[in-house]
Amino acid sequence: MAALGFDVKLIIAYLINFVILVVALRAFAYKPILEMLEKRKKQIADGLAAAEQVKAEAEQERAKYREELEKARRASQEEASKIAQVTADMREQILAEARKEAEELKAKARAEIEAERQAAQAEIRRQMAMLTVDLTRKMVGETVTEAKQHELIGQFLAEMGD
Amino acid sequence: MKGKTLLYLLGIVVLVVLGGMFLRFELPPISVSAEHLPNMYLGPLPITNSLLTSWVVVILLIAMAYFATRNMQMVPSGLQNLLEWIVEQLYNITEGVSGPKWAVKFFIVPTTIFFYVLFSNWFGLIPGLGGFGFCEPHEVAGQEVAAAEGEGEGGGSLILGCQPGEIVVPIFRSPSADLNNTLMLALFTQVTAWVFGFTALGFGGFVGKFFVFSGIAKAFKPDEHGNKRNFKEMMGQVAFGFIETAVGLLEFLSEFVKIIAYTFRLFGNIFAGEVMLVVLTFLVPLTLALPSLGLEVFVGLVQAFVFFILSVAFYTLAVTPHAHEDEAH
Repeated sequence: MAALGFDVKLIIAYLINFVILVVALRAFAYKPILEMLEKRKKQIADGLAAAEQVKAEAEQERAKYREELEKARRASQEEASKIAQVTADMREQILAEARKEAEELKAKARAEIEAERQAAQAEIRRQMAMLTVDLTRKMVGETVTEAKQHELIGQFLAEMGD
Repeated sequence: MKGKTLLYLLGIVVLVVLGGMFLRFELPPISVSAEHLPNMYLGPLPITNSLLTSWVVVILLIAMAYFATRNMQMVPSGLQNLLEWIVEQLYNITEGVSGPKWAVKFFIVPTTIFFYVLFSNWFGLIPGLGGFGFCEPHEVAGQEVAAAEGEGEGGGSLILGCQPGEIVVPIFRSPSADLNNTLMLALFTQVTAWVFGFTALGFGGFVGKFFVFSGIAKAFKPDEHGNKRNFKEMMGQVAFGFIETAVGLLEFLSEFVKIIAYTFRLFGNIFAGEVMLVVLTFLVPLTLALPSLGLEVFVGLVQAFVFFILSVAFYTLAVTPHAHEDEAH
């Protein structure tokens, strides 16, 4: 054993040396490093959890906005259909009014035409009577009196009126 | 391609010639045991070059740990990053082998062994360190030495400058090349493994792993169906019981054999590597020693890792209950 250099004193010296190293490395290296690794792991986990939460919140917000958007779209559709209805009603009303006005104008025009026709007829009748009297006077001479002339005209007009 | 090969060959030849001209030195004595440094004592303790190196290694390691962790940053860089990476990897390996429950307890000693052995191995490889030391008369070393043939011729090398008839006692020698150190590591690992074993399994549970007589006793009891065994069954069971007992005793023996194997494995690897480097440097300075140095750096790392993983394995085995107890649970 001595040839190989075994010496209990040296073994104890190495042992003390090694124990000091174990204690020192535990204090200066392993403990702070493992704590740091744990801290980092926790921070990463927290970060991931926070990111998940933010994602969930964003998802919720998105759903809320989507819902509001849908609501707004529905409201605008309703508004549009209401406006369309109102427009259609107005159109109908305007058309009805226009139709009514046209009818009234037509009726008025018809009445005027009728009146004019009647006036024209009366004028024609009057003209024809005058012509007839003139013609008759020329045929019978100047013997027809003023009174007779009026009587003839009246007679003629009465016949024409029939 | 041919020109490149010629260039390499020329470079090697130049290195050989230059090495032969300027780096000739006497083959230092090759001593299995660490050399005592002349007139250096710590009380009753004679200081050897390996012990001194181990102190240097311990101081270096503590300083490294201190500087790496004195201002810990959440985003690591530099030395903190390197140390964190190594510690994390070793912790993960420990966790993988022994499980998360034991990893925290087991991890400290094997990891310290890793750093200590790695630094010890590499410290011994620093070029020129082996030739830096005290000149001592040949007889004073008191060890079996193999001095160079030309010892008496030229008054030592230019670097060492020892007188004829003197040998160099290097100041530094890798602690891994000292059996006292490797034995201490082996004993420390094995004793702590036993402590873990006793703590985890209790005295009966731990000792019961090695002294298994239940197999033989079972032969004289009824079988699992409650029937009395016939002679043939009884003999079969006795044979199995004997095998179990023998295996247990072998395991008990291996607990002590491990210490020896552990001691000599590291010593053999590192001591042989250093001797090889010295001899190669002596024979062909520079040229052959450089690639061997690279190999020894790798061997040093592998040995440190082997010791780490063996310690973790010993601890894990120590806290693992006997197979039959496992089945019973």
